[in-house]
Amino acid sequence: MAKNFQLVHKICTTRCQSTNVFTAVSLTNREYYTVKITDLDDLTDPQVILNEISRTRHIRHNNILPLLNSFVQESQIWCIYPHIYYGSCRDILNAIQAYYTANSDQNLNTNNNNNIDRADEQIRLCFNEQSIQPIVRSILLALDYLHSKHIIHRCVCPENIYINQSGHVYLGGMGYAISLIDNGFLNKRLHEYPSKIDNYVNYLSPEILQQNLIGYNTKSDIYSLGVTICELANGIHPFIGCEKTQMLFEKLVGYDIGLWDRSILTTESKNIFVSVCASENPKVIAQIQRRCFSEKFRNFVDLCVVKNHEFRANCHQLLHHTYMKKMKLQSCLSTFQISIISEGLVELQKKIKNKTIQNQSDFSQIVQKPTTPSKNINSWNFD
Amino acid sequence: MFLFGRTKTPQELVRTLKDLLLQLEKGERKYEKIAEDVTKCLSGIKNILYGTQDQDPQTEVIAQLAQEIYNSNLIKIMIDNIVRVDFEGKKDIASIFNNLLRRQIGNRSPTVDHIAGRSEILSKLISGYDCQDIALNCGMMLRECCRHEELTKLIINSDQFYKFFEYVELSTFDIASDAFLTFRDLLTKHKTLNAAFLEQNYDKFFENYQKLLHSDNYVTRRQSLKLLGELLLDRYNFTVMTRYISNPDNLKLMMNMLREKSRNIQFEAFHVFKVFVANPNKPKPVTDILLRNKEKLIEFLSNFHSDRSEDEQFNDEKAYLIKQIKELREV
Repeated sequence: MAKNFQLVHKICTTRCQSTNVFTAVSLTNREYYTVKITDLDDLTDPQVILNEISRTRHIRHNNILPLLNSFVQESQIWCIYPHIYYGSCRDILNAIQAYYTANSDQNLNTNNNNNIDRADEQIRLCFNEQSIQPIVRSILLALDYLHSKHIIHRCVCPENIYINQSGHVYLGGMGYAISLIDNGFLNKRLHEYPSKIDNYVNYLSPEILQQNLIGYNTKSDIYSLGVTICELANGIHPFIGCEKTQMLFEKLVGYDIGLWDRSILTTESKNIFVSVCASENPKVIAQIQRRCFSEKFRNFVDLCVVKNHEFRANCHQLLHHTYMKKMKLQSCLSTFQISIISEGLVELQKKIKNKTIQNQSDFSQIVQKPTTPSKNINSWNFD
Repeated sequence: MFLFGRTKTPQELVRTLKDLLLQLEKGERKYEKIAEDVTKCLSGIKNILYGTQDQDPQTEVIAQLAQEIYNSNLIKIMIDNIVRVDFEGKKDIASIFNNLLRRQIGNRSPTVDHIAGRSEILSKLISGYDCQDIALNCGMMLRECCRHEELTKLIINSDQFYKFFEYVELSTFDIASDAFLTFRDLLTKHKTLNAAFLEQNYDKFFENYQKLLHSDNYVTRRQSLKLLGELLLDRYNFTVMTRYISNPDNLKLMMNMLREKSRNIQFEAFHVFKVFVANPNKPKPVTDILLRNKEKLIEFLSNFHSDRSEDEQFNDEKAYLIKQIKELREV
């Protein structure tokens, strides 16, 4: 079946390294698809990918990325998804960064200040309040569906939010999802800590991290959504450059995660991360000074990141929040952003291509790994 | 016709669902309307059985519901028509089925008895793997059945059991791997039953199993090799293991798999190969093969996965095998 798809270009290598994501064109209907290729031989425990495949197959919702097909090719699993033009929100954040890196390199000689300007431009252009709203709404609809089916996603983060060419938003990455229904009964809470989730701990809710007897429920996804919104809006992860133990501590004492705009500068600034960033780059403060989020948006985020999950809002309440209400039909990406993202994506593309060309001249070699003949022994003697 | 204004009693819910499903089966006209009502009924029954986030399940109501389900033969009717129910409804049928199977009254499991008396239900579930739309739902229900010895026995002793050797190689990966999960549960959950089954059906079973080990499909090869190792090393399967490791053809297969290009397959093969070498009563043909390859094996094993230095057990076993092979003498 793999021969029905021609790989066009590589989008990324996921954080778990053994998975490569490609844009591919189907030779049967000439349409584009996103193909995730995971080499099972690199994994000692393929549990996450198997869970992702079976969970996704049991789910059907307009805002959840559907798995169209999956098959085995040599030692690889190919998962076929609809074509996601802009990739994940993480890709978009990276693309914006790549755009500025490339442009500032060109201008470096003419303008020395450019380097400093870059960081605050990057923050300014990430996602604005209006463009985040449709993303959040789609993700909430997806989570509302999952929660009504008693499933906890456990890995809501920019990596798992995808945007296609028409601006439709999908939630993906069901590899860490877990059901509250177990052994034929509906549990009110779970206690199991997601294994192999190290790369995403920053997004986990305090109650999951705490691993105590109280456990966690569907509301932990809301917390992760809150952290994700902050990252998209601030342009920087709330716990950037932070040791895991410190992150845990801050979450448990209920450190005020939130949106960075001028209001946090006027109040007695208890936000140490802003001050850390600011000490490295004074322009950040100036940028934050210029930014102003609406009261309802800040209130919405505050409801998501309430430390005690009993008082945290659920999907249903958030969908009826005033921030969700003023729903003008709009795309989640403005035209200006799209042009920047597109250019940034091209830059990223170049980088990936160069790397690929250095190592391997052709995709077919990625697909068929060179064989490693076992040393010394040519054959056994059975006669 | 469907009054959801007032809450239905469990009996009414079951009867309505039964009527609707039978209408679906006949293929009456207002198909979509009926299918919609079926989904509502199913989710109503599911909520009674599982409760919701706000309300715990009530034992009394569940007892009435279950009794009505047994009396009206609803389980069979649901399974017969699962293919006609919509996507969410199919999942609800599986959830209802699985919850009912867990029901216990004292030492009795009434649903297990109910299904054991109607083995055509099990047969329907197995052939569910033939149909993409319902394969995964049927798989979930079959694995729940596997928890009960009585039902497992019915399944592995049916001719249909051998269909699993085809299902685990289906080209759609998610269905194939689901089928393998079920296959594995069938062979490992009930030790005494499984051991007796493997002994009685040794030839037929391993003839089929050999095909899985030779499959072109990497995943099938890797999974079946791993399961083989688990089966042979289980002390309940001692007789089966003894028989397996006295056959020189099996040894040849494992030695070839040690040299496969995939590291994971090499590693799994090692765990089967070691049993051949560690066997204190090796038959002559097995010893002969080992002797003929003595030097090669020692050299091969000395370099085998030498980067797994942190895996103490593996290194101990490897050293033990090398020692055993070095000490091998003609009999």
